[in-house]
Parts: sequence; C-alpha cells; structure tokens
Amino acid sequence: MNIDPRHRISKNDQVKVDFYSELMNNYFPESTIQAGKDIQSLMIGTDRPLIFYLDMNDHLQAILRSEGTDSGWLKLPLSNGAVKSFEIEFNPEEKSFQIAKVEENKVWVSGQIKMKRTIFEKLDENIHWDTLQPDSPSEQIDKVSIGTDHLIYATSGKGKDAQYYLVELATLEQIPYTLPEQAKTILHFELGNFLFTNGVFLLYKVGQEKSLLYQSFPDPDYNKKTQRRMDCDESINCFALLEGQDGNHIVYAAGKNVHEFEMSSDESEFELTTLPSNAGDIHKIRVAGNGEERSVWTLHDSGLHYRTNKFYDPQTTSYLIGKWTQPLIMDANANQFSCLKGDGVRNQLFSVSTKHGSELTHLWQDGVTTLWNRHKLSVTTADSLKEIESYSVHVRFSSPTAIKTFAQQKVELTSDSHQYIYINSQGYQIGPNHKVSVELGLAPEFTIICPVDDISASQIYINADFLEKEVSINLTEKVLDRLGEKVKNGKDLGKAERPNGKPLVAAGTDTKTLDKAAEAVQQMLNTAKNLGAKRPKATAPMRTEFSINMGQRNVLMAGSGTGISIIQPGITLGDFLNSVWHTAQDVVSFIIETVENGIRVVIKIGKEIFDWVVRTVREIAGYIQKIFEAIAVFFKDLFEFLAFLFDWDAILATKNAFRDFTNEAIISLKSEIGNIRSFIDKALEKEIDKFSPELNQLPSAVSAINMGEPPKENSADPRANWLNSKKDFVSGGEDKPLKERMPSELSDVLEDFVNQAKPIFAQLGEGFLSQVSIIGDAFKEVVQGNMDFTDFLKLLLQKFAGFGLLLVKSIIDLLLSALEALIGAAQVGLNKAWHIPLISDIYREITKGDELTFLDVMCLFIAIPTTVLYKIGEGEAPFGNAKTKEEFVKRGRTAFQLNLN
Amino acid sequence: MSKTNTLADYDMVLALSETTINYQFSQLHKRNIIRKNWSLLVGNVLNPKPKETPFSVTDSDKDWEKKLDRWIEIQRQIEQDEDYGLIAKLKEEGINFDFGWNAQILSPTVRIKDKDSNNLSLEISFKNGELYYRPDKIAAVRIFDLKGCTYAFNVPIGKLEINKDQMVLNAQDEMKKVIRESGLSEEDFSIESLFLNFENADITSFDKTKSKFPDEIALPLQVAIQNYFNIMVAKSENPYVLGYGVNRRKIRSSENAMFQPTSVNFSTSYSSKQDTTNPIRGQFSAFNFLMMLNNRQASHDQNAGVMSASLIELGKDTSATTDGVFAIQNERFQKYIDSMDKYVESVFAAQAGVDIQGGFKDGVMKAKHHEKRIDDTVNTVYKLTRQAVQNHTQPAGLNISYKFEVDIEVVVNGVIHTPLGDIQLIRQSITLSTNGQYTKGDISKKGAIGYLNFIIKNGIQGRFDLEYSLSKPSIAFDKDTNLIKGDFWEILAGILSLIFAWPIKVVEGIVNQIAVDLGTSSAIKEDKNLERLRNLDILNQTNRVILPLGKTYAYKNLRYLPEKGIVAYDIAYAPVIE
Repeated sequence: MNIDPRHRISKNDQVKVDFYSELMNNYFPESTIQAGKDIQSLMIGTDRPLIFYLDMNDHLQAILRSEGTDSGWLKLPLSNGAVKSFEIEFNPEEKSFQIAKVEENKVWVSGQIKMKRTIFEKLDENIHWDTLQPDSPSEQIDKVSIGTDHLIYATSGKGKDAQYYLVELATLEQIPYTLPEQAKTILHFELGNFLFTNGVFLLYKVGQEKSLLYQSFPDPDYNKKTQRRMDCDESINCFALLEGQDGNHIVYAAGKNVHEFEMSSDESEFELTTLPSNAGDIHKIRVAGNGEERSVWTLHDSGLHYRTNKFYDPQTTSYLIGKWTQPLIMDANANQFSCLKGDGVRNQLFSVSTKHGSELTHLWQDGVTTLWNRHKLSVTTADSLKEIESYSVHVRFSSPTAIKTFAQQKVELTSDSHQYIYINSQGYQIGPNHKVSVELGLAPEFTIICPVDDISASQIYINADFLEKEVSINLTEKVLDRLGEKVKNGKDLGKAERPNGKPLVAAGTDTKTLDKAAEAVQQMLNTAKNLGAKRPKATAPMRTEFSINMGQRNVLMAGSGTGISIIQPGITLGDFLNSVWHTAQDVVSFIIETVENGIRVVIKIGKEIFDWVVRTVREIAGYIQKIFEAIAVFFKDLFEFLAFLFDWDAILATKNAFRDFTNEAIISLKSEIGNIRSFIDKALEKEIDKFSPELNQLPSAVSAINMGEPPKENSADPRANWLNSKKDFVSGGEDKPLKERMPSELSDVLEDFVNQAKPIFAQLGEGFLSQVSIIGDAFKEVVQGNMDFTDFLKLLLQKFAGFGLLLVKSIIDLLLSALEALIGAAQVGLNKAWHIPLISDIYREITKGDELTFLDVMCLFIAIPTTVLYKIGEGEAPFGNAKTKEEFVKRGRTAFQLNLN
Repeated sequence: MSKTNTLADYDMVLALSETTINYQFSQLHKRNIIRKNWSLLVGNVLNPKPKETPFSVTDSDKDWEKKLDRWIEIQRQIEQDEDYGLIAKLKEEGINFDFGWNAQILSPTVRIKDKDSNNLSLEISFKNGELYYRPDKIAAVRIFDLKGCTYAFNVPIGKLEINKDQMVLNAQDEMKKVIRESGLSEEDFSIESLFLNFENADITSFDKTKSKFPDEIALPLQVAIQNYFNIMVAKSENPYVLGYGVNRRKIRSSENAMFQPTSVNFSTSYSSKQDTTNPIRGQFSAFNFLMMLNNRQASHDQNAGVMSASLIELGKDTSATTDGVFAIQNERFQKYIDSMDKYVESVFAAQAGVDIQGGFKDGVMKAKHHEKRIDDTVNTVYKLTRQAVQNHTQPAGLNISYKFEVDIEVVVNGVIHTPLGDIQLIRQSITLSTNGQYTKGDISKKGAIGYLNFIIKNGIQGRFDLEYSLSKPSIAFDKDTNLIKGDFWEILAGILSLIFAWPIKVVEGIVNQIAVDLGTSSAIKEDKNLERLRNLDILNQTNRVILPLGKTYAYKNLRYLPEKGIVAYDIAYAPVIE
C-alpha cells in the first residue's frame, strides 16, 4: 500500500515526540537454550555471531544473531540424530566456512558456506552434506577436525589403537595418517596453517608425557612434511589456534600457563610469549582475535578466566595493543564456552554451566563503556514465558496537522553504547554504528524494551525524516531522578523502604557510610544530568571521598592509602566492575572527582588503586549500582526499590469492570441496533443530495474535540502501554493466522466483514484510513463514557462525509450488519477461552490459573493503562470500591442508547 | 667391532634423505630465508690493478637499476666509439663493474651421487634473469639469459667437518667453554646448519656434468659465480650467499644424552630405490651424519663411513611423515641394557634379607634369601637370567626380559609319635621350585618360571619410556608329595603355610617397587628403600634424553636388527620450538 506523499507527515508538521522510560518487568514468549558438550562460534558479519552447539540430546544446533526477529536469535537444527563431534572451519581468504560433524558413525562435511551469499536464516535447509566412512564398519568414529583443504577424523575399535584418516576435501579421497612419534593417544587435534603450510596441530601422549606437534600435509613435489614440536617447559593440557595476520595460525598452548607461539616477522624464528597466569591448571582454552586485538579465555578449577592484549593505560587513558593483562575471573561456573571478538560488542562469550541448568549464556563487553553484560540466550517459543528486567520506553509521535499520516515512515535509532534491545517485541543490537530502522504503522508509536542486569543503560537517539533534529532518550533518566529524590542524603537512604516495607539498606549500617554513599550518588547523578545535556553546565569541581569495609560493610574514614601499586594492571572499568569488585574483601575507598566531560573514579582496595574516567551516563549508572553494592544493596533490591511494579489485583478489578460493562452494553446494543440503523438511514437518506453534518446540529463539545491531539492521559508511558507493547502477539505469531486463533463465532463474522469491506475500502482510498483511526479513538471515548453515542455517530458521519454518501451508507450498513451478527455471537464468543501466546500465559500467572477470553483480552488492553494512569493521577485504583464498579457497569446498559433530543 | 659393519666403523649414524634436505631447502627458499633474488653488480675482480679492491652494489641501493643501465650504456659507447676516455668516467661514477646479476633462483637442491660417498652436488637453478659480463674494460657488456640454467658445484662432504673453532667464534664467551666441552650441539644437525656447511665448502668446484647452460655462458658464469661467492662470503655482514638470512637455529642446551656424540663426519649413500606409488628422486638416498661416542676416535680407514647400503632402505615407516633412519651400533646400545641389569639387581637387593651375591655375571644373577623359624629353615634362591633383546611387535619397541627361577629348599624338623610311644626326631628336607611338578595342600599349582619383562619404547625428545610386565612364578614340590604321609604331612603343612608365602611375597614386593620407580603406580607408599632407589641411574635415564638430537629429530619405531648389528629408529625432522 503506497501513501500519497501529500498525506505524509514531514519536517514542517511540528512533530512532537513523547516518550517515557520506566524500569520494569517485561515478559517474552521465549525460552532459554540448553546446551551440552561443545560450543563453537563464528562471526558471519560485523557483530553478527553464529553459534554452534550440541544440545542436551547431542543434536547439533546453530543459533544465529538475527536482527529484527522476535528474540533476536534464531535456532537452526543441523542434525537429525546425536552428533559425537563437530568443527567449524573459517576460510578467511574465501570468506566462507565449512562444517564437519560425526553422526551415525559417518563423517558429514558441508559444502563451502559463503559469508556473502548465504541466507543464514535458512542455513539448515541449504547445507549440502557429503559423507565419509572408515575402512571397516567396526571402527567407531570419535572425532573430526576440518581445515581449509583437508579433514582428519579419528576412529577406535575394540582392542585397537586409534586410527586416523586424512581426507582431501576437494576429492574426498582418504588415506591413513601417521605421526612422527609413537603416540599412545591423541588428546586433541585441529587443522591449521603454520610455516606457510597447511597441516594438523596435535596434542598426543607418548608414554607418560605429552607432545604438541605441528605436521603439514605432504608437499606435492617432495612428498615430505614440515614438522615442528612445541615445547614450553610444562605439560600441555590443551591448545587453541588463532588465525594470524600472515595466514599462519598463532598457537596458544596451555598447561598452568598460556604460551603463545607466533612466527616472528623475520619468519625464521618464533616468538614464544608466556602470558601472565596464576589460577592453576587450565583444562580448556579458547582464543579470539579481531585485527591485532586478542583475547584468551581459559577454564581452570576456579572458573573461567579472561585475558586480553588490549591493555588499558590509565596514565594516557588509552590502550596499548600487544601487552597482556592478568587473567581475570569472568564466570566461576562455566564449563563449556566459545569466544568471539567484534567491533562494537568488543568481547563475546557464549558459555554453559552444567551445574546451573546448562543454559547458554551470552556474556559480552560493550566496546564504548567496557561494561560487561550478561544474559541468557533465548529463542522464541509459544509456550514459554521469560521474565526480563528492563527499561521500557514508549515513544509516541504526534502532530497538530492530523490529516497527515506517519504510516510507513521510517525512524532510525542509534545509541551511545552497545545494547541488545527489543523494539516492538523484535530483538536488535543497537550501538553508535549499529542503526536500527523501524517503520511506523498507523499508530505513530513504538516500544523499546532494553533488558538490563543493573540500573545502567545506553542513551538512545532517534532520527527520522519528519523530525527537525535528533531526539535523545535517556532510558535511565526517570529512575535516576527518582533515585535522586528518594536518596537525598544518608538519612533518606537509611529510611528508604522497598514496596514490601522492608528497609533498602540493612539495619545498623553506619550512618557515616550512608551519608558518604548518598553524597557520592548525588554527585554522580548531577554529573549524569550534565552529561545528558547538550550544553553541559559549568559546575564547580567536586570531590567526594569515602571508604567502606567490604568485609564488614562498615565505614572507615577516608585519607588512608599511601604506597600505591596498580590493581590488576591494564584492566578497564568494565573488567573491574565485573571481576575484581566481587573479590574485594578489604577496605575499599572511593574518590569521585568531577573532571571535564565526566567523572574520575578512583577506587582503592587495600594498597591497590584503580583509576578511570567515566564519560557516559551508562557508566555512571553502572558505577552507582556498585556504590549500592558496597553497602550490600544489590540490583534486585534496587529494582524493587526503583522499578514500577504492577498492581495486578487493581488491574484485574478494572478489567472485570470493563468486561461486565461490555457484557451489559452488548445486551443493550442488541436491543438498540434497530434504532441506530433507522437513525442512520434517516439521516443519510434525508441528506443524500445535500448532506451537511451541521444540519444534524452537532453538539459543540464534539466539534471542539481536536482529534489530532492525543488526550493528556494518552501521552507516552510504557507503564500505561505495557500491554500495548505486547499487542503484536495478538496479531503476530507465525503458526496460525489470526482468525484461526480467535473464537470461531467471532472469526466468521470478521471474515464476512473483511470480504465485504474490501471493495468498499478500495473505493474509499488511503485518506480513509487516517479517519478510521480517529473514529476508533472516538469509539474508545464512548466506551469509557466520555462521549455520547449519538455524538459518536454524528462524528462518524462527519468524518465519512467526504467519501461519498453512497459509499458511507454501504459501509455503515456493513458495519451495522456485522455488528448485528457480532452481537449474536458476542456473548458466546467473547466469553470463550482464547489462547494468545504470552498474554494468556501472563494472564494465567497473574490470575493464578484463569482462562483468558477474547473479551478479557480486549478489556486488559484498556484496563492496564487505565489503572496505571488512574493510580498515578488519583493515588488509588479506579474501582477501588464496589459501588463505583456497580455504577460503571450499569452505565453499560445505556452506552449505546440513542439520545436524540 | 661387530662382524656386520653396517655403520662403517661409526658408533651412530643419522641418515637423512636427499628428498628431505631438498624439501627443507625449498621451505627456506619459499619463505625467502634462502634469498630468491640475486641482484648485484661487482667490480675490481677481473684483473684488478694493485690497490683496487673488489666492490659491489646490491639492489638495496635505490639507484641500482640506473647504475646497471648506465654501466651497460657507457660500455656500449666505449666499444662502439672506441672512446676510452669514458673508462675514467666509469670509475668516477663508481660503476666500473666487471659483472652483475639480476636473476631469480629456484630452491637449491642437493644430489647424492652414485658410487661416491664423499661428494654431493649442490645445484642452483635460475628461474629467470640475466647475467651481465664485461670481458675486458673496453668491451661492451654481454648479456646472457639465465632462464633454465643450472650451476652445479661439488661439495666434498667427506672432507667436511663441523668446525668447532668457528662455532666458538660465533658463541659468546660463557658459551665457548660449554661448546668445547660438550662436544657437538643439536644445532649442528639442523637443516640450516647443513646448508651453511655446504656453503662453506669449496663452492667453486664447478661440477660440469650436473650443470646445464649454453657453452657461451660457461666462462662468464663460472667467473661470476666464483667471484660472487668470494666477495660475498668475505663480507662479514653477509657471510653466506645462498643462505642469505639463514641462521643457525638456536636450541636450548638439553641435558647430555646418554649417547652424546663427540665427533661428526659426513658421507652419503646413494640408493636407486624409489617409492612405488609416489616416486621422487632421492627418497632412499641418504646424507649421513657419522658420529662417534665418548671421544672415541673415528677410524682412519679409507672405507670408514662408506656404507654398503643406504640406511633409509631399512626404514619401517617410509611415509611422508618420516625423513630417515637413525642407527646405533648394538655394542653401544648394550650400555643401556647393562644399566637395566644394575637396576634389577638393586631392586632385589632392596628386599629385606635378600643377598644378590655380586649381581649379574654373564647375564645371570643368583639372589639368595634365608629364613629361619624355630628349627625350620627356608632357603630361597632366585636365579635371574636376562634374555636377549627382542623386538616387541605391537606397539613397536624393544623387549628385554628377565626369566627367573625360584628354588626353595625347606628343611623341616618333625616330631613323630611311634606306636610304641617313643619320641623320635626326624629331619627331612623338601624342595620346591619353579620346575616342581607335584602339588599337595596349599600348593595347588605346578611350578612355572616367572618372567619380568621390560619394554623400551620411544618417549618424547629422544627419551626412553620403560614399561614392565610380570608373569608371576609359581613353585611346586619337586618330588611326589604322596610319599609324605600321616602325621608328618600335618606338621609339614603347618610349617609350609607359615613360610610358603615368602618367596612369592618377595616377588610381589619387587613388582611394586618397579611400578613406583617407573611412575605407573601411586598406590604404594614410599619407604626409605624406594627413596634410595629413586636416585638410581636407570630412573634418571628414563626421564632424561637418551638419544642425541631429540630436539631436532623425532624418533619412532625402535627396533633391533640383529643381522645388521644395530638398533634402529625411524626419524622425522621435527625441530622443537621453545
């Protein structure tokens, strides 16, 4: 459907943007992913990971980052049965990859999957597989590894040594493979490139010892192999390969330490670097690189550790590439993992902890703020509900020139740092260079939901052709304001209560600590405000200094701490907050100092010091969170304290009132429908030649209503529009068309209506649609008792006047006959259980088991915003007492009665 | 000296195939470690006047090409116009060259010669390029196309020796002593070193039969190459021409190997054999590192180092993975076997009450144990006979076994009640042994000889891994026990049950000890004896480099070849990066 450009809203239409961000719970019809033995991952585009893993049944699955789909992740099955081993080989020259897997005692090897031409969303359907088998069917295939030109697989049989087959990928010819030493067992092998040859890296056991070897494939001219053994003075447990700049792999061998074998630039020698380590035996190692930047992840008994060669130098506040940081613990429980490096989302980790439910968890570091974020990967499923703590924003556009439409206009969103968000229930990655484009529908609004695991979030920027300038949305603004109001000083903080009446801060917390913490929070909040502003106010330099004993959480006054050494050199604020913070058990001192364009944060733990300049609101919020953590107030506490919590009982009461009202109204409408029809017929027939709405003496009140300007209580508010953000689930869902999911009584009527309406709408044209939405809003007013039904009908006639009376007559006829049919079906159909993904689940949860009916759904859409807004305005729920409800329900009987005085 | 002189009077030989050397050269060339481009102009080498010293200009000079063109142009003018005044100009401009190159070379190759163990041919072939040559100062420059030309020269490797003095020169002070004392280092066995050694040989000994170029280039090429090498080799910052950039690999010194060579010579062994499926020249022809141990002098016999056949023909794995064969004279290897005897002796000696009687003599040891209980005595003799080294087929390795016989003599004093009521003292001796055939009572199995087996396997970096296994001996009565009847048997049985376990317990103790020593069992608590044993040579040796060159070559398929009088391995050129 194309809209006439004249009807499009433009820069000249004084478009106003209303938005409101709230910290609250949200629900998604998603389920987390359970993974088992192995995870591997690959970047198939800028910041677009593709993750391969074995699920709990050992089936090979892929998870694709897919912008603009429901959860933002798409699951693709890549095997029919259990897979014993698999490997992904990326070919940087061809920009393609291949998959090899062991399934049904065969080796399956995919064709080359080109990064550019592949429709990854349909990867599962489009892979061409070839299969290979060992010489004897009694041999069991245990493991496969694939390189750019070759593949190797290992087999074992009863009472036999392991056997190895080398396969030429071009021809799929296989030959037995031998080693230069007497290997008992091969612990790990992986194909790779070294010394400008292709070959295999092998870790094998010779007697009691282990040997790490590179062996090239035979040279075609001499039928000889290039072989190198790697020795680093300790027993190697595992190794990982990283594609180097010159095409050769860099080898990371790990025992207790990590040893990097890289060919030096003169190509004749190797540089052997031993990375700092202090965490004991390494059981698994993975490496990721992006240009010269590298990260090494190692699994120890004590958990998963991370190191990077992007070393932060606090002196120059810049990074040194090539200097390694100390290992930092990232996850104490992960036991399977795969890592990636990207641009915007700098470090990504996909991990599984079998101890804690085997859920595939995504840990990622934002390149701008360096903050680490964690969430469980999920895919859309109809019968599962996931609760997500989030910032939710409802953004609404309006213009006084109501006749023009926003429909099909594009809005572009970016943000100051990287974040995974949902826009109208679709998942996206957003960042400074990650634009998200949203097309507006008839209603010029959309919802952004930004899942968070602390109170910090990115600043979001909106641009559109119809906007005069960029609009900036600070997701955390309301919450930080609220925090500022609630925690003005230590006294406030001490008295602060959560909604359940329990104190926010544990009783007996030192008052001086509270004073200092509140002072620090206030200072941070002021800076945050300044950072958000386009023209920051010149503020006097401030400095707050305080100490907390993390062990006892008691204050110790500031001023201690000479003989400073650097805490975990090279780490960033994000690393510090994610890893070092939790380990702090001693006295922690904070110095917060206002500097140009930000805040300098100095944290002293014992004699060690961490120094960082904070420049974004998100970092400040993240840091405020940590100040609270220092006084034992954690995110879940802050969430309760600051988030908007739904009072489901009040909402249900409102909904029930609406439902009863509607049921009453339907009964009365049924008896009234004849009168309505004759009124319209009369009005239309009388004026069929010279129709003028004025003749019907419209009440002045109706004429005065400016339909283009949304009523006050209709301004953007994610709390009010909480359910609105879930509307897509009513119309969306890929399994069945909407009409099949509606009660059949209603869907039949709807289908008839649509079929008959089509030719009429076709004649009415595009302008009609904008009128329909105005009429729709007016109808809501009728239902809410704000508008007389007669006035509504008059408005209806007025709005339709321009479209030719005969057409109007026929559409009204159609509407009325549909209404008549609907009413017949209504009482049965409306009150029949209706399953809508997500909403039914939430409903069942909040009502503790009630079935959701069609009418419930419609009423809920109204009840949530009404209740929320009413409560905000009036301080109490709309149907707090029974009398009010009774009166309201009674009004339903007269809602549709004609009052033709 | 053994009857079969497979190693031609040397203690150890490492035979590296011609194909491997050529492949490794090709890798060095591919990575430009052996320089591909020869771009050079040289002057003052043909009939120089006194005080005229050779000089050269390489392509590192940005005007190199201009100088080349200018030189050619002026020489042309001189010849054409007979304008000899221009010669002075050449000197003025510093372009008074005699010859020059601008060529690309292919990877150098070696060729092992049939029926000539003392020489090999090193061949340099030109991929393309030109040779510029000025026969005399007044002639125009002659330009030769080098494409397809091969210059071969003879390397008299039989005369080559690793020049220790040169090594010492290159080394830092503190290293000098180490080098002088420790004999040869692994570095001397790397391909890079080999290449440098070839180069240091008399490179001008032009080999006409292997060279390939048109006749008219013969003289200029030879002159050019000879002078080129002479000049370049003389230059300190660029000592090696072919190996431009080739450096000796630096290998951290490892512990001295048990079989540490103290001298090395070279020879070659030509073989016409080729792989049937993938025939390539020189697959079985060997370049031999001829080594002597323990400062033993190499034979000065004319045929020393001239082997009757290439060792590589003895290879077990001849796939692309392996690069040659390493062999040790059986007599030298015996040193290791002897140390194994010492170990077995020590284990027996460590058992309480066991006397090893001076240990092994001619491969046999008799250890004795004496036990006394009241009037009863038990004398046990363990006779251990070491069996010959055998090949243990799966997995490849050597098997050395000790067979042991256990003889026990039990002397029993019994008291037997006669019908008359008299008490009579009867002394009766009963013997049990691994040969005993008679069973009775607790002794339910016939005697059987026990075997203690050691398997020597290849470990990493030239080490040996030892594995052991035991088939337990069992003992039975040597005489028919049915002759022992009545009360006497009862008495005897009582004594036997008390003391019988002893010989077997000793054996078990030994096995446990070996398990701990070799680190295959941690179940047994260490006692002082074990601690003492830990210091034994054999144990150190299992964790120590036994074969030399373990950081340069990988070893596998250890095997004993009695008909050749050697112990051999397959080797792979697989240097350690460390």
